[in-house]
Amino acid sequence: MKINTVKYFLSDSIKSIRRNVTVSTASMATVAATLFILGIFLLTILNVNQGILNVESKVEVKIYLNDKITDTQQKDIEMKIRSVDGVVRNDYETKAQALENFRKQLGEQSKSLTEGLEKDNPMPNSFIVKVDKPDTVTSVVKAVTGMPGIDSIKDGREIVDKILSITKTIKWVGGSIFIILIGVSLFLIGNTIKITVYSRRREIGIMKYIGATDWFIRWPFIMEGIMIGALGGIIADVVLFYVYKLAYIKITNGLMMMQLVSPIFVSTYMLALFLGFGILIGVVGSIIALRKFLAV
Amino acid sequence: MIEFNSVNKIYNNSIYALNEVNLNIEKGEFVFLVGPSGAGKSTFIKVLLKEIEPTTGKIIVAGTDITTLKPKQVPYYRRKIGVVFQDYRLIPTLSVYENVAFAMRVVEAPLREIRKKVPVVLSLVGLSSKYKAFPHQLSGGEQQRVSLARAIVNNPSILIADEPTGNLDPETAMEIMNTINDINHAGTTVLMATHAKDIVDTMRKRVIAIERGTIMRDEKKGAYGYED
Repeated sequence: MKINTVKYFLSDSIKSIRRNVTVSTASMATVAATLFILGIFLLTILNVNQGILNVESKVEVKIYLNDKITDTQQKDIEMKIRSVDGVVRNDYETKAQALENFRKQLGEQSKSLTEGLEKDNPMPNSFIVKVDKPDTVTSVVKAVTGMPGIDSIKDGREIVDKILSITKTIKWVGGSIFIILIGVSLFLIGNTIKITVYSRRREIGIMKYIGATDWFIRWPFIMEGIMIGALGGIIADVVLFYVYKLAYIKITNGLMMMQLVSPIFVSTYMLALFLGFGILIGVVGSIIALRKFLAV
Repeated sequence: MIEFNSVNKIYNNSIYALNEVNLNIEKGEFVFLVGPSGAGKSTFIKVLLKEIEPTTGKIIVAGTDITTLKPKQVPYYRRKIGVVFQDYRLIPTLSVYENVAFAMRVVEAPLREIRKKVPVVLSLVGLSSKYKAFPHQLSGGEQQRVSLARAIVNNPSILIADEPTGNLDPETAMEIMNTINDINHAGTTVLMATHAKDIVDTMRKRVIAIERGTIMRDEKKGAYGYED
């Protein structure tokens, strides 16, 4: 296609959007809404995933030892733990350390609660095993279960499982809403293009007599779809950026420990994603609309 | 230039819009297509433009059997033919100049060529002074001139005119006919469907008369031959 022709198509599409401002705006808004909701879900999932990563990196197995454990039994357990693939660290925590940690967790005000416990320390000795990924937890638990000298085993899989099931739900709900909205966007863009095609059917007829190729006739309409889609994408991204930035500041101020996806992600990668998605919706919507009208 | 070999067009299995049409139009000829309404003139033009397909038969234009053209080739075939209609079919939102330039844009002519060619064609049809005007500001005759300019701007070898004077007063009609005659003299084959008795009888060109899909007459320097 010649540059000259492209310019002609572009000015043609802009004129057409202007002529049908209301309809064009409606479909632009739908694309924007669709992508905005997609963005919210994406950010939620990304943040939850990041949360899981944090939790996962803290995944550990606590093996509480019986007070009557023999040295050989303790050595055996330690050896067994070391033999498991994926074990990152294995720390031994004495009763005294455990009590100290417990006190720290409770804080200054509740000091009295633990007073006098030193004499008859209820905290057990334990091995704290740090692993590379949640699956390794199972291996460690399997390896040491039933060994003599172990009182009980505690692992953090439950929390991870819960978070995973929550993300799954979010993905499903988000995915379904997103699919419905994509359908609506395609329908509205398609309708916008149909209205344009209809208002220009005479022109299209003339173009056919003069010998315009089908693609020459299609391009201005497709470009119109692309423009509507791209503008919708940009609007969605800008709105999402400010909304997310606000949420980001609120959350990070309130909860220091939370590691959130940076708002810059929204203004860079997500902008590209939205533009791409908007353009795709525009192209597909207009091609669907044109199929019926331009059958030669 | 245009050859019809046993061309039939049957609608709804029984109505013959074209019935065993055989004819040959030479390059540079001027042909009037006459006949009562519904006789098949429109169908004749439509099959020639590949707007509809004949049921059977061959149509050869400039050496190519157009009934075998693939859909993708049709636009390129149509570029060899200029068409004008009774209702002009100009684009109302474009000026005279833009309407003519539009035809060149559609075939992706370079901008430089468009700027050079459009004024030439506009002066040929006598509309140089009104190139900025919009269709609604022009008289019927002027609009038909724009339509003629648009039809010939891409140098077609054939000009098809479907009742080009149907909406015009006799005087304006004659002026349009003079322009079409000029185009014909420049080497373009002209095929014109018409109901205008005076024009056909004055110009004395080849006349092909169609009735109920069949060619009834084909005369060199013929006359209209109907009471109107």
